[in-house]
Order: sequence, then C-alpha cells, then structure tokens
Amino acid sequence: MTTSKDPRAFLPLTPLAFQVLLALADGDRHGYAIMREVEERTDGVIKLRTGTLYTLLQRLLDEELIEGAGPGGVQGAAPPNHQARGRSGAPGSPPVQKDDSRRRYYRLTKLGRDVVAAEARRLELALDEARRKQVLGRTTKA
Amino acid sequence: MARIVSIVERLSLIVLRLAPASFREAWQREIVGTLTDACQEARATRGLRGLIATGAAELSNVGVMAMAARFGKRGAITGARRTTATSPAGLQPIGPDDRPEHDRSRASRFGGPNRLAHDLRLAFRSLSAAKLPVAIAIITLSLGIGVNSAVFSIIDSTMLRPLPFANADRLDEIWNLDPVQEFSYPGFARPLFLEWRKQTDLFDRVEAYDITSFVLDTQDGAEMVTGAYVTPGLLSTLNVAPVVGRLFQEGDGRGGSETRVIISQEFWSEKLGRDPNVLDRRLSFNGRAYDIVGVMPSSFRFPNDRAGFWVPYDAEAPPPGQVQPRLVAFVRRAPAAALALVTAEVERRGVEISKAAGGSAKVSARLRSSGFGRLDIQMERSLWVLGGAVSFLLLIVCANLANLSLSRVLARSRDFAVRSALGASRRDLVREALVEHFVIGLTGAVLGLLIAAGMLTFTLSMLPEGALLSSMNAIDLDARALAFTAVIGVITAVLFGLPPALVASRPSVGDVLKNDARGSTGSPASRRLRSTLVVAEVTLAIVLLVGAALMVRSFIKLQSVDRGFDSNGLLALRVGLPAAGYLDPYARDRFTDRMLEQLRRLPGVIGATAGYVPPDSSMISFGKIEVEHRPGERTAELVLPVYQVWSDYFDVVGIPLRSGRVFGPDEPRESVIVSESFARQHWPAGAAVGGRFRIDNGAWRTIVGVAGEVRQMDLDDANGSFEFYYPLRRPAGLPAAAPTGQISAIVDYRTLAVRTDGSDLVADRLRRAVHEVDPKVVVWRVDSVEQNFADAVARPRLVLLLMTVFAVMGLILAAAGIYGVLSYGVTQRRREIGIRLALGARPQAIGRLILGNGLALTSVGLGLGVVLSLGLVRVMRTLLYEVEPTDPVSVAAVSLVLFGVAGLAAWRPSRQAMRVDPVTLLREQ
Repeated sequence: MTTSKDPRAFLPLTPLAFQVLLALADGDRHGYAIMREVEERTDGVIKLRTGTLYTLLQRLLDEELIEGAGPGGVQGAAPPNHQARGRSGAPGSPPVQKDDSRRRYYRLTKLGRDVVAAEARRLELALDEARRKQVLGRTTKA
Repeated sequence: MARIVSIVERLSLIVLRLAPASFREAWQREIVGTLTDACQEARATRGLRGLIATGAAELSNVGVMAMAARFGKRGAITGARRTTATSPAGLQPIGPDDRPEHDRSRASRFGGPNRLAHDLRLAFRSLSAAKLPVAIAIITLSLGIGVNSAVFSIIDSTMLRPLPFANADRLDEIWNLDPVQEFSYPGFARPLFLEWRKQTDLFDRVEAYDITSFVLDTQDGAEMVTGAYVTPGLLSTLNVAPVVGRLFQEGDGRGGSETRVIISQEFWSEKLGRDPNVLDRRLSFNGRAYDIVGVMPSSFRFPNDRAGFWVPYDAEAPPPGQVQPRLVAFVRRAPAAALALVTAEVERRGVEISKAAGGSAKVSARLRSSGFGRLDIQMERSLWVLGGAVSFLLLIVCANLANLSLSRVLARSRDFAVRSALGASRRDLVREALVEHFVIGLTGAVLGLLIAAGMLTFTLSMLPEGALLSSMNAIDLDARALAFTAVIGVITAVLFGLPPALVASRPSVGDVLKNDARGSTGSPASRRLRSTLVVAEVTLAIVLLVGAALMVRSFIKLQSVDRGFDSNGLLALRVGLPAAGYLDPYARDRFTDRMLEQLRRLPGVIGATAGYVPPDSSMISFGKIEVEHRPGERTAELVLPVYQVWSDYFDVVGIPLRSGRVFGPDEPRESVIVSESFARQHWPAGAAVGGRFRIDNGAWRTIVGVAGEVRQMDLDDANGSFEFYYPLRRPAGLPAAAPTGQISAIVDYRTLAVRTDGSDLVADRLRRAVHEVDPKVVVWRVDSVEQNFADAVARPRLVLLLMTVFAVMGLILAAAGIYGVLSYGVTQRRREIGIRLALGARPQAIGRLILGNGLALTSVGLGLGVVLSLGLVRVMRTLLYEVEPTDPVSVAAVSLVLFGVAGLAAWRPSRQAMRVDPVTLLREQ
C-alpha cells in the first residue's frame, strides 16, 4: 500500500531521527555504522545507544522513511574496523563481514529524503531568523 | 577481555527476553550484533573500563527498548511542539494522530492547570496582536451588557424577585373588587377585616397595614414623617429580624400599649443620630409620647421604601377613640391551599363576607398576588419596552462581534494552518480560540458591570423620591444581576466569536499556505454572511430609532400642551391643620384668611389664594352624572378631580373663566364651577350657568361658572379634562360641625397657592410665614408647581432619555458594522478594482460603486426595520401621547438620519477603493 504522505506531516523531526536520516543521506549503512557516524559527526554530543537506535529504525521503517537495503555492503561506506569475534577468526585477523542478520543495511526512501530535506530547510529558516536577530553574534552568513 | 564481551553478549540475550517473541525473531540477532560491536569498539579504544561502562549502558538501553516493545510503545520521530525531554530509548508520545488518548492528560508538563495557563498565555498574545478590533469588541460588548444588566436589575427587583420575606410565595394582599367595573382598590373597614380573619381554611395569617403620616415634634419644629400602622402579627409574619430591640407582639396596639413604635434604620440615623440608647428614647408623634421598642434594618422596606416607622394597631381590640385606619389586608395562604383555589374562593366569598361585615353587597374581593402588578401599569409597560430595547441593542452588539471575528479570520486561518502543520490538532486550535473569546467575554462582563452600576445610579436619581419605582426589594446589582451579567457576557462572546474561528481552523492547510491575499475565507458564503449581519444590525437599529423618535415627538407634544393655567412662579404650600384649635371649620377658614393676608405682604409675592393646584387635587370624585334637564339619564362612571377653592383662586392661578362668576364670600355649598368640556357636553347650547346636576345620589349642584380646561398631564386624558371646583370656604350661618368619628391629629390639609416673581427667597419665607401665624400648623411641603408637573412626567421623560441613548448607541454600532463590511469588501476586491481601473474605469465610478453597496445594505435594513417597527411599536402605543405608532414624520426623520450616517460610514471605504493603484496591485500578484 502506497499512500503519498506529506513530508511536512513529519515535521519537526526529533533530533535523533534527524541525525539517523542524515547519516543515511550519503549512502546506505547498517545499524552500528549509523551509531558511529552520528557520534563522530556530533563530536560525541549525541550518543546513540543500541536500543534507542533500533527503536528509531523500527519506526522509520514503519513510516517508510527508510527501507532495508539487503545484507552486505551493497553500496557506500564499509563497516568500521573491528575485531572479529572469537569463533570466526583469530584475534588480529583482518575485518570480516559477518552474515546477513547481523548486518542489515538501511537506506533512505524518497519520502525519507524529502523529510530530511524539509527538516533541514526548517532548521535553516530558524537559523536565518536567529542570524537576523543577531542571536549568534555579529557574524555574516558563513 | 573477550570473555567479558561474550558475557555481555549473553546478558543481552537475557535482557532481550523482555521483548515479545515476534520482536525477537525479527531483531534479536541484529541488535545483539550491534551491541557487541559497540562493546568491542569500547574495549579497543578505552580498555576494560570503557568496555564495562559501555556494556552496562548498552544493556540497560536495550532493556528499556525491550520493555517498550512489550508494551507496544513506538519510537518517536516527530517532535510535537510540546516534546522536549527525551526519555530513555527515545520513547515519547508522538504526533497528533498517533497520540493515544490517555497521554493527553499527562502530556509532559502541560497537564491540567498548566494547560490552562498555557492557553491563557497564548490567548493574550493573540489578542494583543489585534489590539484595535479586540478593543472595539470589548467596548461594544461591555456597553451592550452594561445596559442589559441595569435594565434586568430593575425589572428583577421590582417584578421578578420574590419578596424578601419568609414564605414570600404565600404572601398576598386582599383588595376590594367592584365586580361590574373590574376595578379593585385596597382598604377594609375594621369589621370587614375581622371577617376575613375568620377564613382560616384559606389563610393561616391575616394581617393588615395602612400607610400613615404622623407629625413629629422635634427641636427644629414640627414635621411630617411617613410610616404605617401594622397589626401586631404582621412584622413577625414577614420574619425580618430587627437590628435593635424587638418586633411587635400580641398585646401591642391595645388600649394602653398603643404608643409604641418601631423605627427604620434611616430614621434612627437621620433623626436620632444613631443614638445607642435608642430603646430608651421616646418620640412625640401627633402630640403623644411613643416608646421606641425596635429598629428595623435598612433593607426592610415595607410597605414601600419611604416608611420610616411602624406603629401597632390591634384590630380586635383597638384603643377607644383611635383613628381607624383603612386596613390593607396582608395575608399568608395556608400551606395546603393552592393559589388558584384561594384566588377563586376569595372572589366567590367576597360579597358574602362584605355583607356579613355590614358592608355593601356590591363589593367583592380579589386576591392580589405579590409579583406582577406591584407596579402601576404604565411603569411596568415602560420597563418591558426598555427591556426589549436593550435586548435589541445586545443583538446588534452580537452581530458586530460576529463581523469583527470574521474579519480576523483571514489572518487567523493562516496562523491556524501553520500551527496545524506543526502538529496542533484541531481540538487544540478550537480550545485556544474558545479561551480567547472567553477572555473577551469576561472582560466585557466586568466592564459591563461598571457601566450597569453607573446607569442604575443615574436612573434612580432621575426618578422623584422613588415614587414610581418603589419596591420592597432594593434596586441594585445583586448576585442575580452579577450572574446574569457574567453569563450573558461569556455566552455572547463565545457564541458569536467562536464560529468564525472554527471555520478558520478547518484543515485545508495546503491551500491556505499557498495563496495569500485571496484568502480561504473570501468565499461568497462569508461575504453573504457579513452582509446579512449588517442588514440585521441596521434593521434593529431602525426599530430603536423609530421607537426613540416616537417618544421624542410624544414628549414634545406632552410638554407643549397648554396646561390651561399659568404655572410660572407658582408655588404650592401645603399645610396641615391640627385638631387642637381647628376642629371648627370656621377656624380653618379664619386661619386661611389670616394666612393669605400674611403671604400677600411678603416681598416677591404677587398673589396668594387657597385651593389645591394641578396636578394635585383636593379629592377624586367617582360616580355617574345625572343632569337636571335630562332626568333619569346617567352617564357612564366617571372619575374626575375636584378642587376646593377660594374665591380669588381662578385669578391667582390663572384659570380663565369662560362664563358665569367665581365664588362669593357666602357661597352656598352646593355651588360648583365646571370645566368647559363638561359644560359643552351637557349644555351644548352654552347655557350651562344655572344648570344643575348630581353625582350618583348626592346632592344637586348648581353651576355658577364655567372655567377653561386644565390639563392633568395624564397620558390617559381620555375624558378631555373634566374638572369640578367647589367652594372651600364654609358659608356663614351653618351650625358648627360636631366632630364625628375618630379624631386624627391633622383634621384638614389645605394648599395655599402663591404666585411669586420667581425669586428663591420666597420659598424659604413661606414656612416661616406659616409659623408666624400659627406655630402649631404643620408645613407639609412647599413645591413649585412646575416641579410637580416635571415629576408627573418624570417617568416618560426618563424612558425617553434611555430610549434615545440606546437608539444612538444602536445607530453607531450599525454604522460601524456598515463601515467594517464595506472596508473589508474593498480589501477583498482590490484585484477586481485594480483591473477595472486598469481597463479605464474612472475612480469616481469605483467610489460610487462602493457607496452604492453601502446604501443598498442600508436600504434593505431600513425597509425591514420599518416593517418590524410597525409591528413592535404597537406595543408602545400606550406610552405615547397623541402620537400614532405609524407617525410618518418620525419614520422620515429616522430614514434621513440613517442614510446620513450610512453615507458617512461608507465614505472612507469608497475613498480607499478610489485610491487603489492598479499598477502596484497587479505587480504584487
């Protein structure tokens, strides 16, 4: 069932949802990769935990803002380095992609793209207002 | 370390047990994997500590998620404007459609009273953003409510509110009834009253009162005070507690105990200086010492608000020689007796009881329920007319409110749309609009109360001595009036302000955000609605204006009526001659002569005579007239004033004598001077002088003169002013009249008519002049006759004044309505106007178009209004003096005024339209 949903209906996005969608904006990722990216991008300010992440992912899937992109690195970033677990390889061996169910990849749907764009625009507007009111100090537009 | 990781892994599996099976099936492996990855990372970067810390954090996070999954809670991706805090695992109540019902109440920090505060804040913000329309709304609302409150208060106090006594619903009076004439009047003789006391099946208390005046001797001289005789049980039937002392009881009013008095609180303050030892004081009433036994509270106004004292009268055993009051029977129905039954029985038994008491068999009785009928019929009608007028005014205010609300709708619908897009539910928007209008209503109500208080004060001050509007209830803004005001205020504001706001909150978000000036409420439907409202306003305003115009004409006619005599500088000096010294009627005449002589000597006095001056009369005569030259024929029952006058009366008062002569010094008692119209009616040939007539079976009277008409200033002047004048002076040679019956303190009241040159000094001198002749004579009043006439028309004058004020208010509001709708129309049709101008139309044509619109609305309203007023104003007929409700002059005047005002209202919008610049306009598009 496809219903064309109005992206604006999702606004404003929660900060976490926005971050997750943003993380998928430039490529597919799996869960842990999303967590890492968000943490790195925000310099540790936003720290996504597993439970939180998967709650969000569930909801985003339900709302069709993201979709599963199949196991394995179909496109985009490689999973971050990590040490293989004991069973599958000796410590120190090169990173091994585990099997499907552990590494489900996600990507944005068209709706998801629209939503994150709308949110970004909304934030931009807010930022413009703030700048105009010189809330951020007398700086010119960066 | 790897061990620890695997421990964490196993723990996560356990924690995930909390989640439902289906969830685990779909997600378990992935979650566990990610969790493990995180822990590995932590171990790699921060060592054991990092691992343990991360492990713990992740495990608890997953645990919360599992619990949430079990309870069906979903993650939040949209932050509703209220959500700021995040709980663990990002779980929150979410967007408008998904929010479960029960979450509303605990909606984070905005539950219950906090929400109200929040809504109020929003309301104030929204209202301040549109200061002018809101101020106009509040002001018009408070005016409409204020006048309604005041009129309601008066109607309520005088007609609706129950008497402030115990068992008020069972209290009534019994009056005499002339069954033929359907005319009832109060006052029983003692035996009749006692007969009614025997009707114990109908009444469990039968008491009586009679209004009376006593001469109070104070150190400043004698003055008259008004009060009442009451049977000893009456005050306790009313059951109002005294502020000091006691009520009357069984035994008061009998021989030996009749010189007791209860006074009012005003009396205590004004005449006794609130002496705390009041119960030890005695008052000299009519030359006797009365003991004060109690003081009644100022809220006790029985039988009217002027009663200053009450003396007991025991009808069973009155003291011998006591003047007998005319008892007004005041009764309490037996608890078991229904009103309808008692009413019927009273009329049925009336004649028998009258006969049993030795009275006339032609007189029955009627039960007068307290409630309607307490006021005289004219006053009652006036109040209802005023009530109708203020209701119309309120309707006009409502129409204006609706219009104002509609004009704010455009801005609001955009505002609503944006907020709707941001997650506000329709219910929230409506609730906020409701709060806004509630605030407007409440503010209007509060201001309205102030206006009502002011209006009441003004109204009461315009009526002479509360004579016309006397009520046992205080006329003020009581709790009922306050409640009425608040309720009306809020209901009006909400009822008329809310629907437009509701219309605006309809969810067509996209459309509204897309177009601007075109606006979603520029629909033809809304334009029609606004026009209809304005037409309604104009219609109602017309009715008010016509009503006021008619009253103005009526009043002018009333005032310009030739009174028939010269009231300029005429004073009426009313004196009471006490029993001591004036039992002999010749003594009274001698006093009158001496008094007149004295008065004529005063500087500033041009003439003086004796005899009541209109609108007062010496007595009223009822009866059928039989004229000598038509024996056996009788006229219908007539009621007319009789004046007992001195010989030079006509000259001093200025009533012209058409034929015959005035009374001479030894005028026989059956001489009479009649008014012109009476003479003309029965002696059309003009030979009234010498003719004879009698009233019912009285003595035959001989006409010695015919005088000009005197207008009684009565709006019911149906009889064309018949008056009779009898000689006041007792002819010499008659035996001294023996005092018959009871002797009251004052045996005779006389009025001395004094024509002055208008200086104020004379009025003061008059009192002293009387006391110079005889200090025992009581000066009752000194009035200017002009003032008496003014008082007689005080009621119509006040009603007229109020109607005019309401009509003007209505007109201004209607004009504002016209202005509003035209100006809005111009704004809306700017594009159309711009195009027309661009296509070569002349600005004047556009201006005329707008003006034409305005006049069209006005005309429709005028037409409807005139038709409506024809119907309603028929009600006013009885209040109008010689002016027909369909008076064309009034209607024409009103139409002119209306078109003038409408033209003014339409002027500015039409100029606005003419100044539209098509170039800038089209560029904007």
